[in-house]
Amino acid sequence: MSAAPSFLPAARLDALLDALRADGRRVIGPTVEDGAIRMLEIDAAAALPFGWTVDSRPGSVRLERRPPTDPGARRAFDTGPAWSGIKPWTFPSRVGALHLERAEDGALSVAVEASPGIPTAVIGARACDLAALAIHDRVLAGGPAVDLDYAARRADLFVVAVECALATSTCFCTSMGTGPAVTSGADIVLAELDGGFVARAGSPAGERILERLELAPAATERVTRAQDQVAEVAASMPRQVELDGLHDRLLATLDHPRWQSIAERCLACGNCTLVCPTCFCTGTTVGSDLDGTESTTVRSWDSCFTAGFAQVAGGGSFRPNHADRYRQWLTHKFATWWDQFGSAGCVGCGRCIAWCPVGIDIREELAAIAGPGPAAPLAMPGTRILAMAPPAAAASIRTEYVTVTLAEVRPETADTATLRLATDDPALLAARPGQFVMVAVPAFAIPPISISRIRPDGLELTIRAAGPATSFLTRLRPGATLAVRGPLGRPWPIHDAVGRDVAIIAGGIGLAPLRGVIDNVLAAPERFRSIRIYLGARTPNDRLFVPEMDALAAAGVDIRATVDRAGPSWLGRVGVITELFRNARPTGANVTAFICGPERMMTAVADRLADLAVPPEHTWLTLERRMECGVGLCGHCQLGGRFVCKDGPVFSVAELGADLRREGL
Amino acid sequence: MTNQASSTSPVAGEPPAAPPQVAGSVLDRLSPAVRTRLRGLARMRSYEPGAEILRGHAATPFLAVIERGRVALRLRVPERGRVTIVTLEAGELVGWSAVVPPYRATVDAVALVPTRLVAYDAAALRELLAADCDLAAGLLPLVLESVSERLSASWDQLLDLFGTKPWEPW
Repeated sequence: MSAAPSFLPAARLDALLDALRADGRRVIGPTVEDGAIRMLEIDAAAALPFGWTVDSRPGSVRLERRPPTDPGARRAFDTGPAWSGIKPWTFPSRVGALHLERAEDGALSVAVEASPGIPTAVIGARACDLAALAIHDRVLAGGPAVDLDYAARRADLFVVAVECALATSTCFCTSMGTGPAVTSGADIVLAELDGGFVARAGSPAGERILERLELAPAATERVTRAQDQVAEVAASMPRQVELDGLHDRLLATLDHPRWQSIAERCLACGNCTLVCPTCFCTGTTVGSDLDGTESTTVRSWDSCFTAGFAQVAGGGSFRPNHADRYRQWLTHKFATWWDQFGSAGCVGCGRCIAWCPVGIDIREELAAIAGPGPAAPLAMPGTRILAMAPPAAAASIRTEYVTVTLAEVRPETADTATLRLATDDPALLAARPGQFVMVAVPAFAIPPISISRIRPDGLELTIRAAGPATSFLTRLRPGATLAVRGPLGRPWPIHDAVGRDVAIIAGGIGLAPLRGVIDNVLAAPERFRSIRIYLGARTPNDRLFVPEMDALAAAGVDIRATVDRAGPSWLGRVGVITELFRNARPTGANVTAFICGPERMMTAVADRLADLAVPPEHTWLTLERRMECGVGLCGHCQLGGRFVCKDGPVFSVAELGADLRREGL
Repeated sequence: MTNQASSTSPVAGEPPAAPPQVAGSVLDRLSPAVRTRLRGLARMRSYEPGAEILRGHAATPFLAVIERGRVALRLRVPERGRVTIVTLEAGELVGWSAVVPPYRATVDAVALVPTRLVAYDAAALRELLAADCDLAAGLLPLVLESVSERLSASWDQLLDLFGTKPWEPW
């Protein structure tokens, strides 16, 4: 902003708060509560932590009163970053997400809940807080899907930032390039001196507020003093994290023994993720009335340290060990975040260090695991945080639900049924094979279900009763209404197979997401050089779509089936699905393969196909991970730098590389 | 039933009218010279569906290549009957235990459909292998490959990939 800095006497802080409130905002600022500094709603400047300072170390935070003789005793912001930061106000720990209600006549009403946006001013935000806010803007509102609740709260946020006049022992913003000077993201920036503040506007809105206060210009020596002060703070923080090349170094050390030794100290309590201003993972819980006709889904902060975070229906977890979870957290913050969002996921505030009950210090761990070696690998593309993205960036992923009618339920096996949904919704009818939908009914968690057939009049979903929600869905009767959100995810790239030999390889329920591929390729088979279908199932009774597959085989389609085990009455092939390729020759260079089944089956098939010279960039598979949002916002389905829900679930073996087989990722 | 083949097959044990040519036979990978020496031992054996080819724990009477048909390798599980672990198709070896001590079959082998084998008598084959290093060097790796395939197939079975219950440590 063009206006010269002005001087806000400490005695006039209340005038600033009044000016902020005059525009209808509530004012949030740091205040002492429960023995710590929290960002809470304040009604007067007196609530600010005048005279307090903070001694913050690994595993320890102590508030200390400055002696009255200390000039700092009259300062309001000499405390380092407040432990709770701004996040609870822009991204609260619990928000309503979805309300479902079934009327007496069976009709289902669906309401996506989001904050209407409450005009809010924050005073006392630090440079690290603003960097975190910019990161959240990118993650939650930068598209393709937008968190509506965040966007609404963010749109009405006015920020008065304070440049830090001290650094605690846990601060390392200089290493992350985020502070202590405030360079962007604030409407007003204050630098606290004894007796008052050098104030400068960071936005036209900030300029208007400062004009309203009719402040005198800040004397040059005060401006210089303020600049010196923040420079001294910066100088007091040695370089503690070597960012250059860290992304590559860290991802090259996924098997480092240090992960195991951290895990022996780490309690997996999740404190670090709760105090982290950039952590954005959420989970949903469903609260229901007793008869299950009405329910509200609440979205809460979740932590990648919890046992259930990477668990899928049926009980398996992709990160069973503490070491897996710590590695996920640290590699996400300092490596894969770059791949996803173009910046680090850490702003150097040090809260995770201070609030870790066992004092794990990420600076120390990074140095031990991925410290700069003599031969530094590739440098990262700069270390600056992203410029503030406008919250209302284009949303191209659908976030609303539509109601559909269940037209038919067809049992497939003892635990699997196909639901035919009738709809004329153009987006749903434009779904492509390999995509999935989130299916909501009152009182149950909302599972992702892959689409098993796209019809002119609706969709088919083939569902295995793996948990309470899927069990309920497979027991529904025709005529029921369901709420559906989608289609979501990356479809099978059928175009990749045009002119080539198509191999469709399905294990068990994995045939469901591939059924649409079969429909598609057989609709115009002349596009392909050849088409072969390979089917595996646990037992003959677990085979899906048996009459349909028999009819295709009778019509001359090359279908080869095997079961894992069988009794004497089964005269077909027995053996795991890779046995179907046992005697094949390495002549697969012209094959495009589409594989779906349990991950171990898919990797075994992919290995076999590699032996047969099928190129990895033409070997496609679809991954299962926990998905709660389906649009890349909840964080559950991360695999390295990918969100399986929105970057996949379909990937080529070449795209996944070593991540496909790495345990605990 | 001690001599399963002869009791179930009207043409068992006859030498082939012409050199056995199994399409895609694993033995095609032997050198022509070695194949010629092996051919002298070949006998055709035919089996009706359900006929026993090998019996688990009994001496393995021959090593064979499936000319046509399908062979199930089965284990007998008390109280649960017979479980097929893997099926073998035309061109594959059956009876590797004919040349691996203690020369006893590890599973039952049963024809699922009308099946013809090109069989090589176990004792005669062992004798020939002991005397003919070229034959041994050519044939034994193929036998070992077949053992390895059966082993991998069994291990993959252990994983119960399509099982619906979560893993429990044992």
